[in-house]
Amino acid sequence: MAVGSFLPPARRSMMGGFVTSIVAVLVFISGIALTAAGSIGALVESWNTSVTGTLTVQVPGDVATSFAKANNIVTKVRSLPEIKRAEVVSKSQVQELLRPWLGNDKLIADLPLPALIDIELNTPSPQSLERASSAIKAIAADVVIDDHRVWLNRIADFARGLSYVALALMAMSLGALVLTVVFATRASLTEYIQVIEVLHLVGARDSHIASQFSWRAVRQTLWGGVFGLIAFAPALTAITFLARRIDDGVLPPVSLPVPYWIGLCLLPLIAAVIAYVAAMTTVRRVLSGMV
Amino acid sequence: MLFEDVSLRYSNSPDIFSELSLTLPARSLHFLTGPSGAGKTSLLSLLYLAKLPSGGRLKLFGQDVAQASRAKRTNIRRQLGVVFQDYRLLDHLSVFDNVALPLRVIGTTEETLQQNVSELLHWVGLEGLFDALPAVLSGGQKQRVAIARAVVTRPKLILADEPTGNVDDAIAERLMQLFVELHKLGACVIVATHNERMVERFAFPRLHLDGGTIKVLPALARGN
Repeated sequence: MAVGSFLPPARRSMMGGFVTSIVAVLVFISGIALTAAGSIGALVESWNTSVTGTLTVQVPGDVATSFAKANNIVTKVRSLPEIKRAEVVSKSQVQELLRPWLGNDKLIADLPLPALIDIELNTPSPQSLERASSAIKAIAADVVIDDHRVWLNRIADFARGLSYVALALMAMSLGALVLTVVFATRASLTEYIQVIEVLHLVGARDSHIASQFSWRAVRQTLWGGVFGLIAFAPALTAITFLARRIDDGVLPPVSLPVPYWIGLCLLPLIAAVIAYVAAMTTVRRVLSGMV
Repeated sequence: MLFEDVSLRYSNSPDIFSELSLTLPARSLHFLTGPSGAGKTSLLSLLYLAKLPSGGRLKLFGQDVAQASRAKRTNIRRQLGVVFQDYRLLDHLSVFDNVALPLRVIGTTEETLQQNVSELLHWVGLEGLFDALPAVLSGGQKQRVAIARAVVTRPKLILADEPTGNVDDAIAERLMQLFVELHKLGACVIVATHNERMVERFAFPRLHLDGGTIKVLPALARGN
């Protein structure tokens, strides 16, 4: 018998396989949730970066006059200090942007499309956007300026909401992990009550007895965590593969931020620490009921 | 060991015994006798700190067990050796590991432990069963393992609940001789028994528990 190890081998315990299996499922779910939270966060950041500091100006009028007017505006706008780049979006480019949504070339060709000016600012900040908008309005009062903020904020709010839901899911998984370990530890205490009583009566300290259960919970949880991560790896690969098939215009390429990768790798360890504390607390509480 | 008006009851049931007063000196050996149901096992459970008195004061090694901290109670337990009536061997441990358990709990080195446990197992006649699991042992063999586990740390107080109940006369005498040896080495020993022949054979005073009271009676006859 190894020194300090008094419990029967875990393979003889009915709870051992249960804990490992449940932890594997919970770590899998936590992995999905953490990846979702991280990816959505990165996606919002990607949208934010690509949109901040750009403006789209719609020039009203019929096709012939609006493009001439747009060229005139571009010439003046380029001299403004806030502007880094200003270009009229060609009619073919506008039609190209619409093609994925409308599809029919003839229909698009017949549409009375306004001229668009794509503007990039030197400094991507709300103040710079404000100044540039005012200056453009001073040049042509009837243009419509879209700084993409409204729709971006709504999408970002929605995405952040999803991200919070994912994090809540992860928190619930970890909460379920605590309950699982507490339940399993209590079941083990019942299973090994005779062993515990004998250890107690021959003078084993509570901390010693509790650590036997805690380290067992740690081993079972670590195995469960590793199995959960192994199962999660192909799921992550599949999700990544499917995401990459989506058009860049709809969903920009997103990579999971490094802290989330670290979080994923640490999931089994986090689960093990939670299991250690939960088991230690549970056993000590039960032992405190003995004289 | 000092009992001052000690009583014990389980939850709302009547007292098993009440107002027991008794002082037992160190280095003494007593039989604990009395009819079945008199409370011998309950009295022992107070002494090995499985229970606390519901009234009165019990002092072991100069410490009031009810007032002692948890850590102090653990230290008291480490000075006790208990032979349970139902042995309470750990089924997943070998004979050797069962006997070595109290030594491992107190952190004895493996080298010392190997020597002490081996010697003791030879002494109780279990030399060929070091690696056997309790499940394959007879009642008498289990009894001897339980006794070896109780005395392996050379405790100051040895409590034995019917330690010769499942062994033949020759083994019973040998086990009693072991208790006598430990008593001579300085331990206080209390042996609860129904075995009147053994009580007569070994001339030691008796603690007789009956009707909720305890009396210290002289030895029945001269033996050794």
